[in-house]
Amino acid sequence: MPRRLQVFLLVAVIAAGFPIGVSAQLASVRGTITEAGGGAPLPGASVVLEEDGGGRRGTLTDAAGEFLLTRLRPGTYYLTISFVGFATRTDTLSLGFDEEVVFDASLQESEEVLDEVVVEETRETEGRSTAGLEVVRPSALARVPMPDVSYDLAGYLLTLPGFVSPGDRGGQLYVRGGTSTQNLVLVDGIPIFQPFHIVGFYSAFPADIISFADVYAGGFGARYGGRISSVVDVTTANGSKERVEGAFSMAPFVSGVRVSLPVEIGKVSLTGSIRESVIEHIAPELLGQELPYRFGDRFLKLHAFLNQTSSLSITGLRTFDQGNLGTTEAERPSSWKNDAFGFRYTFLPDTDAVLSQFAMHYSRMESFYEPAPNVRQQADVDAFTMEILIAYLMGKSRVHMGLFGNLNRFHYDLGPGSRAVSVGITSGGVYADTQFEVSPTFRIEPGIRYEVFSRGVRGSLAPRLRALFLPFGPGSRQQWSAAWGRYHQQIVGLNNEQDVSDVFTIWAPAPPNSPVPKATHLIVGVQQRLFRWLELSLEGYNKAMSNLAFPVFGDIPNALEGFSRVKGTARGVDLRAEINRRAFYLQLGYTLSEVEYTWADPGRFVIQGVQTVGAGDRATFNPPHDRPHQVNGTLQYSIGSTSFSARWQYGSGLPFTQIEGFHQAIAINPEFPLDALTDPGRTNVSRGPSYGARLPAYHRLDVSVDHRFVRRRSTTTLQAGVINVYDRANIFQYNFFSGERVNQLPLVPSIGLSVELR
Amino acid sequence: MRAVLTIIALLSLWGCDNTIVPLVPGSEGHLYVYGYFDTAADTQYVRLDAVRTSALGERERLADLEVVSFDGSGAATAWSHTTVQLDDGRDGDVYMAPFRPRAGETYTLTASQSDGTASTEAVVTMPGLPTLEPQRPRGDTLTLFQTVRVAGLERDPLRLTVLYDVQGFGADEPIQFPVDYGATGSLTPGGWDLDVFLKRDHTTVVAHVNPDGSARDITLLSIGMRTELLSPEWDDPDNVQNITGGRGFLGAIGRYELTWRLESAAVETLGFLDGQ
Repeated sequence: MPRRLQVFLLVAVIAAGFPIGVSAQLASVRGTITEAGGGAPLPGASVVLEEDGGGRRGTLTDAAGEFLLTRLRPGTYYLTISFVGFATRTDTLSLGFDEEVVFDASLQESEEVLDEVVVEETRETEGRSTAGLEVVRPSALARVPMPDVSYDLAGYLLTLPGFVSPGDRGGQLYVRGGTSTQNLVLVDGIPIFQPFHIVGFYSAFPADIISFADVYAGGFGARYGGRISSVVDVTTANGSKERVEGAFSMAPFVSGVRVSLPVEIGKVSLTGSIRESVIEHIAPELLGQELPYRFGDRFLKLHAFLNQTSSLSITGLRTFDQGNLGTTEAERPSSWKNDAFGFRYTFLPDTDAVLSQFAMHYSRMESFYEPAPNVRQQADVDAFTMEILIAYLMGKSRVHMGLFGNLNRFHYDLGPGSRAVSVGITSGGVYADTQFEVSPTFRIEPGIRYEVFSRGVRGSLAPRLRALFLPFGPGSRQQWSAAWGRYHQQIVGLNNEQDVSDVFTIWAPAPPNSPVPKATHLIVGVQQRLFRWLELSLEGYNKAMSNLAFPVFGDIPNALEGFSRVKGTARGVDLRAEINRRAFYLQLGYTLSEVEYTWADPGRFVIQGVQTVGAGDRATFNPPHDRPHQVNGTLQYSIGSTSFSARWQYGSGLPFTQIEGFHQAIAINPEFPLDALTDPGRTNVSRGPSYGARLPAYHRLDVSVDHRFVRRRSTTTLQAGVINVYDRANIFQYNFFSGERVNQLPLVPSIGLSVELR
Repeated sequence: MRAVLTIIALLSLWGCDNTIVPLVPGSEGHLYVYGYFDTAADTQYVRLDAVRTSALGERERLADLEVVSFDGSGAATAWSHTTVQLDDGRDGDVYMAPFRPRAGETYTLTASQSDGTASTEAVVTMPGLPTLEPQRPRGDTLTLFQTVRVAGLERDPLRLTVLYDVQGFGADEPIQFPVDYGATGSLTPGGWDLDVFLKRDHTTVVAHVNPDGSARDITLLSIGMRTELLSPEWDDPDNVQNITGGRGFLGAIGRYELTWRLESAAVETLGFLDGQ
């Protein structure tokens, strides 16, 4: 065992003996603000929490009248809800640690008109995105039309600037130039290796279990590691501890049911969810074409307040996906499943403002793929993680410290001609993630992460820094934010990036005694609230990446030759305008970006059992996920209990490699050169310059109409929608082998029903 | 709102082109050339194959193709078509021309559609005629050898064969006995250095032409070398650069026979009579 690892383990054991801790999972408050009488939601209402000790946090309700305030310290708060033309309401809230409080309120209309400026002053940064971070609330997901009445996080993510998907099947997501295997997706802290279903606009977990999600397009803090592009950190709802709640939904793509019940009133809740696809059964009638994909997920969470000072949550998630990624004539069956389990114990001493948390997670993914008849590939990965988190809460400043250890096991078999590989790797490390309020206008969040690995894989020391500047103090209409950090990825995912339908990924340790994949992020953003209902934001980013594994293809059709080492740069600017006026919500986003890879020298990316090759034919190229122009528009308009949603997306064409054609390659042997005249040869493909051409542009309009029937104990939602309203034939893939073009979903009408019981 | 709709309309129009161009423009008419020019053959052959846009598609037969080669002076030779049966039973297109390429000459082979829509061109230069630079023989009676430099070579030869013309073992006619040296030797700045193991070869020759030992005097009429030399295209046959408007392989083999004079003392040491 390396000496550094021994030292780390010693430190971990010693540290584990101390009663340290806090939680990254502090309290949260969410709720819906409605108009008294009609019950219509009040978008833009001001919600301010004032701590007994003087701290203040605030936000505005969204288009659905919903709000969310997260990471609140335990304590007593004064809650003030105000809105122009309505009577202000105040209340007192007592928040325990790890507690999720739902606070719904109705405001009475008032003759008295509030001063808008006062309302503005109460709004701080909550709800605003800062330097790559977007806090996603469940209500935001409902703005995105889906062929499913229960909505989904994946569909929402694709409305964010800089998030690129190559198509509506396959389940890959590229974030600001990073690849799908460079994203870290956590559900209650558990890493999910394949977090999207085979039909790509569905996450591996349903939306209605989500409490909120922190989505970092880059610049994430030191608490996160092991990936170099982005983080999606999903916190699931704890479930009701007072009464049985539930929901079920039926829609042409996916149907599901969720139940939450108190196991012990006020103390223990249990939430379960099951989703199952149905599209494979009805696609021939609905779409006029086969959609041979089957997928689903099961989720279970138990949350308990053990006593006045401690809580426990246990989360389990199981997903499965299977389908034919080829054609009816040339089938390429693919399947994968995730199994993820974790528990988290949180402890809050009576006397100290120090929270501690101990968490253990286990995540496993099994995947199979048959790229050709009689070629069965398999790749499995197991990850076991332990974490001790400590948070010191010092007024408006915080220090989070973490100690963690990981055990990973990989097994992959690439079929005939290769040997199966089983390999394990152990790592451990520490991090400090802090937040200091230097002045009322300036906050910095420095952090550092250190991790060491076994098997000769190089460790890393990764500094991080985030900063927030409010030039006009708290409540400033203008906000500047920035993030910088260095990121390393010692566990790499290798897949065929040229074939968008091929999601088979080999997870393996980075090459020993070699530089590991790494990235440096720099993000600078500014947000300006021009009016109470209009906010503009501009964010520029640069990701400098090196030591990436990139697939190289030779002259044998449909065969991956091996992996080479590249370095890359992703840079771009995201522009966003958000209009939020009572019943009307509109978000427009535009991304101008460029992703550029360069073959590195030395070019070989050596992974045990996986072929490596030298550099490709072009020094610099745009990889297949480079989308220079992207436009997203999301609109929601509500009239009473009816809301209309629309989303339009445009993305310029993605790069691909043209071919010069197929031919019979004949090996001429100078000893027997005349044999070439009658040799039938082997079918080869001649490729043009790597990624030298682009696919057609992508654009699509989706719409939906929801009508809600609200009863005292239930809400029934009827939804009708159309995906791809003008039936744009967006290309999904072009099969060079057969010369067949496969398009994404055509016009898909849908109707759905969901019933929520509370 | 009107501005938003205008932007959407403009972008939709901008993105209206929904065609994918899977082939590199201009590659549709490409031909694949497989063959070589041989200085020792009176008829030259090349096989031509059409590019296919789909791997699953049947091989297209060539029609209306005009194949012509030009030598360095611009003199043209027309190639004629013949159909051959491939080893898998299907038909292939082979073109042939009755000429013998000259050493060091550059030839250009063009294959054009009769309507002029596409043309594939391959240029190949025959290996030049080398010269032999023998050094003084070395070694004693049992180990006599001679280093012979094949001057002008820049790459490994395909094969070198030392040729012994001998006479005097009962037959009136001289015979030529070849000793295959393969591609042994080493590349030097001046050419290819081959150690000719004269004594070993003598033993081999005598054992072959006079196995019963009845003939006492065997005369060495001449000693020479057959050089089989390759053009640069053979260095990396999968990545040749001499074909435009197509791909494949077109190389050249130069087969040349050269002689040198072996010193009389060495001839005698070997046990031959010197008839050079």
